[in-house]
Amino acid sequence: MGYASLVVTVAIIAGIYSLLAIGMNMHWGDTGLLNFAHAAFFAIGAYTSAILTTTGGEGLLASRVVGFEFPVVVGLVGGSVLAALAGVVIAVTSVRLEGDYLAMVTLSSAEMIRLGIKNEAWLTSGAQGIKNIPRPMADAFPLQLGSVTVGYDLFYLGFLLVIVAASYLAFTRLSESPFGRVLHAIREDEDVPRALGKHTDVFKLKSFGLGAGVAGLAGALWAHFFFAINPSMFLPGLTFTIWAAVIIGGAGNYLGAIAGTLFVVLTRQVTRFIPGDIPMSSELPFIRLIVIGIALIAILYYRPAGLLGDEERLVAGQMEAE
Amino acid sequence: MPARKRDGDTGNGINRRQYLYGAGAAALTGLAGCSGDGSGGGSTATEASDDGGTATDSGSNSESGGPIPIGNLSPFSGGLGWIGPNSRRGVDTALNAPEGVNQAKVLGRTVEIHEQDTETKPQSAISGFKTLDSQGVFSMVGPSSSVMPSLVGPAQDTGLAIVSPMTGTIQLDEVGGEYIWRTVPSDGVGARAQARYAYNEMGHRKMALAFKNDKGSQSFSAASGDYFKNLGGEVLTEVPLDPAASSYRSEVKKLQDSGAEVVSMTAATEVSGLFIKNYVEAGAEDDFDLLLGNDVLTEGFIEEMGADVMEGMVGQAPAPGPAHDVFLEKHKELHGKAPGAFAASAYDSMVLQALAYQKEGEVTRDAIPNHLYDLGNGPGKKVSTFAAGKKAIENGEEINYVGAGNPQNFDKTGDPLGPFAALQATDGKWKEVKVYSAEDLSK
Repeated sequence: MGYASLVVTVAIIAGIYSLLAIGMNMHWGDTGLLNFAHAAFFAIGAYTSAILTTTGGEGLLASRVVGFEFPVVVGLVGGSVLAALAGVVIAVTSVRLEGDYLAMVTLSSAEMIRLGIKNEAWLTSGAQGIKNIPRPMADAFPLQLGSVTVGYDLFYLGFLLVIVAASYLAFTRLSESPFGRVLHAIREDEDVPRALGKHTDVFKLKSFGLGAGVAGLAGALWAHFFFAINPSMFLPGLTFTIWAAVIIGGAGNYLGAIAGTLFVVLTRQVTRFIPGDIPMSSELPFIRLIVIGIALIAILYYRPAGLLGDEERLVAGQMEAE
Repeated sequence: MPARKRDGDTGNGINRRQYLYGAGAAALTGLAGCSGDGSGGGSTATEASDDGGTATDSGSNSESGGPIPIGNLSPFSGGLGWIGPNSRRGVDTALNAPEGVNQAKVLGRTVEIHEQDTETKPQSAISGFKTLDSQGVFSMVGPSSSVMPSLVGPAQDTGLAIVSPMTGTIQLDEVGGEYIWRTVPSDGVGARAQARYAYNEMGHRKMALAFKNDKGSQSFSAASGDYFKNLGGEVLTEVPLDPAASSYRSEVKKLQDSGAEVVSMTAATEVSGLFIKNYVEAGAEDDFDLLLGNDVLTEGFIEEMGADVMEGMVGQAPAPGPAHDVFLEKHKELHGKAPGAFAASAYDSMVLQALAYQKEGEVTRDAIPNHLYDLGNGPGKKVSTFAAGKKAIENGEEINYVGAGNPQNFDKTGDPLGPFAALQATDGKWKEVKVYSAEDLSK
């Protein structure tokens, strides 16, 4: 029971992070945009969906006055759409920037959004976070199917896997479509598609919006599974974790993004089983992080293109320079 | 231009399909790692039992089993990473000190602690909780306010009880009594002591609130302001303190301008230290008195800030439980230093859990919901060590555990209601100036 529950929970976390990685891969892998605002899109999705599906706060710490009780599906759609809009708005202000400059703008935008969530308690409950977020179809479980009992977590995992699979197929098709080829051209050398009459800024806006939208969907799915959210869940470290997943998996490859996410999530989980009777066991929490860091360095050392990445993409810029 | 690679070739001579097989095998190996018996995973070494046997993950466990797996899900890293080691030492003292759990043994068995780090983040706390569940722990010493609300659902779903020594948030005031317990009083209780002292003893009628902008500090501050208003006072303004700020001069100025006579300032040491520095620089002592949160009520903090700076400042903390002095000696003997914040509550949490199994007569997850309330409240013989409690239970007596951090008299929602003391910084030490009884604070 305990192991099954653990595996299902870890799989759900991996599934939601996979959606984030898919969005990040559209930004960086396909379009070459250095986006450091992914945690903010995730937060917008989570908070939008939570606000749309819960009532305002109650009790002494209830500073939130905004709340609705719409069905969960409204929250999922609303969270995705608002995150996509936020992505477009951030991109409008910064899409002409490249490289480090875009990274700085997106990172600071993400922090502004997070601090806004933390301080605008009338809307978000501030540091107290939002709790008692409803789960879709929670009343129907556990479900007895003959001699088999299906728990809620397993149902949610199945639901999530369908969404991950649909997102994977949709984004893969997009990547291979004429739209995707323009994004790849922007990534390699923006002057080329411009010379061909393409409005590259519009393509970049669309890329930003799509990637942010799927990140928002991930946030909404997170909120509805884990009951409670608060601003400390959306620190920049989350963005860097997804970056690590995409780079490890191989930028530009959606299957790689999912594989990289699985690697990161499983590594973090498996290191929780390091025995406590080793020397320096009191430092185990830090040893875990060191082990994870070493694993990442080792992978990038031996496979710079990532697990499933395309080495041609990795050296594209250098080949042109030569 | 290099020759095009065949589709699916990832370079390095590895075919993509081969690579996927490899990645799949690695993932399965990882999952297999998760599905070991878990007996040693993440556990800290404690005195081993000679008995064999393994624990089951949710059912009961016979008397002849091996060590009883109990979890410690605490923040060992992240923003509250300083609390986890305090909790660990408190638990260790409960287990390994004279008359401790592993000396007297629970139903003939020792206790083995499985630690998991919450990283002070809800995501990691949930992973840690599920990991402990998979390792078959029967109950756990629990985490901080910042992650606890995310664990209420999982605890109820799995029937795995959490007894937290560090969760003060008033969000849990109406939650618990079955699988959610705490051995540290709610912020609501400490805040009442603070507000009463400000209103009755200091004679203030106008208060302002300043708090580190996190869940726990805000919870305490809101409760203090609310009770001050109930007493007849007025709360003029609320000022959140950004923990990443490099200065609180503008916040101090805002408080000066508010006309408050007293400010309830709730924050941990770093924020408090910077705030007090800016408070003194601005000469705000002439405008308002300062009431501090209990995280800074250590002599180390007075030493760091300077005894002259701190002279006269007031804070409040749970009045030590009846067994505190004994705990203090044991802790010093085992760890060579005085216990840190929440260590005494962690000690109580561990002893209470062990007594619950002893009283249940078998090791099962039902022991905590079945017995913790009665163990804390009595009536019965007052005991303050596991050995004494075990002996009384074996003699068929009812017991009333009186703890080190608190008397541990629980209410129906699993919160202890005990006395609080107001402390004033005097000549470099915290001196008790007023004690409010549990009865005073329940009014």
